[in-house]
Amino acid sequence: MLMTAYIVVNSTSVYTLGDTHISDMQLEVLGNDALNLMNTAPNSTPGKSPLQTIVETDDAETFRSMFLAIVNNRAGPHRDHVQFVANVSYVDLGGSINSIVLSDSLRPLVSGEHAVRVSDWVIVEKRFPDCSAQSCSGKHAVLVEVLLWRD
Amino acid sequence: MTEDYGLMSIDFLVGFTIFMITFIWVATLIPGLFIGLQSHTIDYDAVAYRTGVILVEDPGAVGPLVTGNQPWEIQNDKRDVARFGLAVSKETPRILDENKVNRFFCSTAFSYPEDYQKRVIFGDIPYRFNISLLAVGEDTPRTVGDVVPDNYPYGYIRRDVKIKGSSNTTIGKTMIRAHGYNNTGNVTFNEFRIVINSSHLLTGDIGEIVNPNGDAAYRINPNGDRIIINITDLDETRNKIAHPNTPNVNLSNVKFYQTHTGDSNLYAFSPVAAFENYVYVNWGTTAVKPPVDLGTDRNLSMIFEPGFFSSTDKYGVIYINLTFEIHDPTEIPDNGQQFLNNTHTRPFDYNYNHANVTQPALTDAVMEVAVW
Repeated sequence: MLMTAYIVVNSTSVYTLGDTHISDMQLEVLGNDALNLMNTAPNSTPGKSPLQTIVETDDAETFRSMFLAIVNNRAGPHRDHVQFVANVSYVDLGGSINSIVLSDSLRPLVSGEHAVRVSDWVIVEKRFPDCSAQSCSGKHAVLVEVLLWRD
Repeated sequence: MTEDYGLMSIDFLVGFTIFMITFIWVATLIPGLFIGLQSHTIDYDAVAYRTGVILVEDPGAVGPLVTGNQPWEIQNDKRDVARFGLAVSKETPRILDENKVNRFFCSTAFSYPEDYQKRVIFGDIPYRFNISLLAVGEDTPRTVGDVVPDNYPYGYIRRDVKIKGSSNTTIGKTMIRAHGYNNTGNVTFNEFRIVINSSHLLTGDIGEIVNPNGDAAYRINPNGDRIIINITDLDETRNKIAHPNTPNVNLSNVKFYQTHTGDSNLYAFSPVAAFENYVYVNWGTTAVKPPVDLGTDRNLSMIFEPGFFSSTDKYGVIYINLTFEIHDPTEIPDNGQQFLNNTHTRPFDYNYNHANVTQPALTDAVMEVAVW
């Protein structure tokens, strides 16, 4: 009877498949916006986008401050509480696909959070993971993937 | 005691089970019957998302009666605006046009909610909404709509964007000397010419960005952008040794010419009445119409608002000819003086050269849409 009562009461709320993805979609839109904006140069002066420079120099701190500033920014007085872990995936000299951590928000991802994944291709003038032994010349595409969630 | 044993009938168990299954099935269906009645409460998020996409990823549209390729933000009659959209172009989502933003949030140009309902929210249900935009460096967000309710459910979307600003140039003494813009003899009427090549600006390379593939994010669009031309240090263009006294200087005339696509002849045109005051003298805040006395500081700004050149050929060339009249009443005869003049050199080209023109810059901003 308890099970029956639970099912009956629960059935009064309309919860469609679309509803389950709304919060995911909102977070995904934010993450995509942030990556895209970071991969856009601020003006037409020849140069690289902030994201290109960050990936080439492995600048975790700049990525952290810039990404958090964008995704947590609001028009109102209160900031959001989005956390993230960012990885860079690349094809190494041997043709294998590898991934390294680019940056994170200093808040570990434990099992409880419901995270979404966003990504953007970035063209960099660097061969991953390390170009010290080889030539760094040439442009290479790497995939920046960010896992983000709300506290 | 023949009646003291209790056994439940198998028939009863089967019947009760069938009844419960049927009851649960029917109870599950009932809410679905009312989805149509309460749809306006469950699609707030969808409407907010759609509104956000239209504003951030769409450049907007004008009505069918508008001729030419004129954007919605320069339409004087709001009935000619079919759909709001703040993106610079369809190819540049998330990059908003500053002029569209200013017009969209102008409370004197559009009324809430009716003008916004049918141009960006859409639908038959009279939603209430709030759209806010805060740019980095600003303290107060620009907003349109009602106050977002605290105790009532509402749909919400937030978009991170960049706002494309205007270009401008300041023609000061460094540039004047570098280009030889005072290399002339003594004349009373000195002419200074500025050229805005729309064709090059809209289709050519953007500075050192070769073949930009139509990237409108950094383009200067004379037909829709605000263009600011400052001319400073005008007194430095005089020969003060030969003419030690301070003369009277007027911007006596400004003439506009254009060429058409495939036609190199010059055709004169005049600004429409709404734009005829575009000159600011000595950093003043009131725009005036030439002729104008330049006073003693001799600084001049011309601000061509969005739409100023909307009547010109999209792929033509615009020429702006400024005439400065200079008189020194203490000199007899008064034969004029050396002044800002480029009739012996080339017109100043308003282009993608960073040394000459401050290019449009992108500023980070955040937009929030709430619908209830």
